[in-house]
Amino acid sequence: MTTRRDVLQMGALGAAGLAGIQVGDEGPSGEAPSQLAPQNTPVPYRGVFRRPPELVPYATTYDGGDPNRPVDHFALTEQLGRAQILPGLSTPVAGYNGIFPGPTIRAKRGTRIELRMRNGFADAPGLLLPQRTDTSTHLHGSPSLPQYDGYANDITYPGYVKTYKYPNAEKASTLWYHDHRHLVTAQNVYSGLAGFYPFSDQYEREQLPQGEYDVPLMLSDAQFNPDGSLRYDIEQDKGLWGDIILVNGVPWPTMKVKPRIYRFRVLIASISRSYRPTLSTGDPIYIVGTDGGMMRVVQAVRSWRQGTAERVEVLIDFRKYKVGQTVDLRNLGNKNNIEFANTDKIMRFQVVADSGPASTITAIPTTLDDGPQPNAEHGAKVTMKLTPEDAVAKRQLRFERKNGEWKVNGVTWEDVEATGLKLLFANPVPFSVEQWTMVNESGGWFHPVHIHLINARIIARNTNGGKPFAWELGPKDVFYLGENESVTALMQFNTQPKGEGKYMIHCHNLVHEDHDMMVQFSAGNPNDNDPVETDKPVLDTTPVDSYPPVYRPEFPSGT
Amino acid sequence: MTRAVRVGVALLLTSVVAGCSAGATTTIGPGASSPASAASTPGVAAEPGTDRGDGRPQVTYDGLMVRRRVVIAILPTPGADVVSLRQELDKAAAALQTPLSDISPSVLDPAEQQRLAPDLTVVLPAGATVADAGKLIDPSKAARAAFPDVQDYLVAPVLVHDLRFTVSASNPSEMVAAIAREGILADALGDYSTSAGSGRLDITYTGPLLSDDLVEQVRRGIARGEGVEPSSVTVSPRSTAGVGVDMAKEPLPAPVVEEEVAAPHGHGAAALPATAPVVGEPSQSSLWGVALVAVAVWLIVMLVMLMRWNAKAGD
Repeated sequence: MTTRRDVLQMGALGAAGLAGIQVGDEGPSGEAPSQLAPQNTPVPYRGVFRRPPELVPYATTYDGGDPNRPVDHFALTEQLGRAQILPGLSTPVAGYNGIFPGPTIRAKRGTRIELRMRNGFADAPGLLLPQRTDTSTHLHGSPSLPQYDGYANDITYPGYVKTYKYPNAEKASTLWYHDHRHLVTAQNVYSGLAGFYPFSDQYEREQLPQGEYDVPLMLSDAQFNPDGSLRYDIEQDKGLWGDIILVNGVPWPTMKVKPRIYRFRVLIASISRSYRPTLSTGDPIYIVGTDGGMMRVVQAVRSWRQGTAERVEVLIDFRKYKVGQTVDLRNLGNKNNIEFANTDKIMRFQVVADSGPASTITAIPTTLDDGPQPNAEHGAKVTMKLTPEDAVAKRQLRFERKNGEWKVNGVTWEDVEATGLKLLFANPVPFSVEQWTMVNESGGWFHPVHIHLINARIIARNTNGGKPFAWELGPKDVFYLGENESVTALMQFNTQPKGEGKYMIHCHNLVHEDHDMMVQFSAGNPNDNDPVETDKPVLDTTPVDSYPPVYRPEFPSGT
Repeated sequence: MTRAVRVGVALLLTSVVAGCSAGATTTIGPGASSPASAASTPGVAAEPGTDRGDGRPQVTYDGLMVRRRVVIAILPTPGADVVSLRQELDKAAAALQTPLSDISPSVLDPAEQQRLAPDLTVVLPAGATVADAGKLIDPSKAARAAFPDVQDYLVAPVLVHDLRFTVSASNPSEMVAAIAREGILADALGDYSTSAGSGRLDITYTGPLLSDDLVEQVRRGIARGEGVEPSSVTVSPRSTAGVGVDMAKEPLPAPVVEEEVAAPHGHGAAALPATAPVVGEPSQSSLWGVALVAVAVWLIVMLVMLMRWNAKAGD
């Protein structure tokens, strides 16, 4: 079937042919490794670990002048930049403030954030497609109003700006922001539009490591051209599997760690690849958080499966290792991926002498208290205490591949667009609970399925004895559907006050998403908070340098 | 749309626009070959050799480890209770002394799997034939009436892997729990069975063909549970009875042929009425058109100017 995506790609190929652009020459599947010269090829563990810089708000105001209702104001500009990823070469990236990963934005419960997002790209061909870079920003994990949720058709054009408003009223969790512009989300994220948004509250701060010992790990993979630029096969719809694994934008880095307990916020920002991290020592890793926040019971595992957009917070206890010892974080891989020589490696830890102030925790916790349920007065329930009896409806989502197209229940996002963005998969009542079963019927592919707005409790799988895996025993918004797998989950549609409206459901293999494996539901009235019309981006008339970024002091190199 | 057609149309676009530009070159990957050679495999969407996609994986664990079985794949009517349907099938199968087992629909040829997208796939016991399946779910009206919740179905002979992984285990029960907790086998195999003996653990699997790489991954996943080398995990036929399959002699399944249409359907403003850009903002699709037309016009203008310049120079 010829799709609109194909039309886009034909145009790209044609234009690329005119321009002499190399658009991928690795054959039909798009999985060839990088084409770097030996001196430019990164060697595992030689890179120095780094954390994304933390952005400081440019202003703090107060809602209604009330000092108990603070609002932090941040500003980011989506723009081209150059990243030092490979030895001897620099790589053009399209990132937030021109860097990859984007600046980390740390949020606190009770402090709203308004994020001024300027599309600073030129009205000219982008990095990976010979077309301009339109954007839409999604804060993944936030129950934002529909108009601030990064709706795929809520487009910010070059030169335009949109101020996103985030409530920060839920429980602490690891969120991330990334581009969500339909048809080009994969290219936009792959070329750099992704950043961390750790969200804290008092419960999380009291029980889990903080500061130096609270480490974001953004895992991604990439292919490179001989000149150091990113390779991307724009004409295939299956996905991209790179041969070089990046951690916070560094190939297989080495991180210096003290003999203490560290907390790692592991985020998969690959556009397709899934991972199975494990320690080279075989020692346990302690899972303390999932997509939607802290686990109530800490789970010790030897490895876990993690797909695109899933967040897993883990503790690693380095106290048992000697100074000078190295411990590797490896990738055992999962079915339906493409592996290369070094994709079984992620990063290395090198234990160094202890120093500095005491850690915030001195023992691995066995249980965690994530505090009272926000919005309980409106009927919100604790996600992990939802039961099938709470559900007022049961629904099924079938993720399929038919006639070469990715579909959900036989529907594509193009079908949704053809109805004026009115077609809905479901229309649950706000604060109602439903039981959804997601089924992978697409053959030899896996799909990390993301449902916007909600957190859910997985209650069943069709494998693993019918139970969720150990790393799924916390609130989830991404559901890994391996080949022929199904997942059943309970979810409550907790909207903000006057926050009814439409939200997306899609495969987070971003290539599949761009190829229309996406539908939507509405919590409450679908005509409320129109995600495209309610708060449109406007032409940005402020000078480009009106919000110079200020970052917090960094930790010492390699830590 | 396939790569071949895409490349071909892209080349056509390129040549139409660039045809008047002397010496213009196109650079596409060698994988694209030429439109003529690419056209020799029209509409094929397969991922040969791997476990990714719908192509047949590379299989050298064959012989008695690969068997021919017969499956029934069913697409129920919308809203049908699949659990009840499965029970009805079991009841009918019991009457024919043909016990059924669940199996992954990935055993089907990819074309059939994409066409039918079954909700329920069951495998008949070893030795059962297509005729036996026909008795169970006969296409005659009378038999169909017995399963009113069946919208469409397929009876097909398939190839399955029928494997036994064996490892020495100091505490087989603990090892079973450790393997299950890690989930590597659940990811790789879906369903599998365990049999804990004295100092030994057997893990058996009957399902879609596994690539050699995936078999090795399973061995590693099992070995981790006991802290031994993957080579300590043996792979053998689940049963030594019957006849196996030499995969080197097996024809490849029919490829998925993706439908081609003469005119691509909407990517324009008509498909995006609610999201059309503000006045003055071109849509993405119109950008393409504008860009291509602009380039074409620019090339033509340049060519005309060049010809005029040449003419003047000749004067």
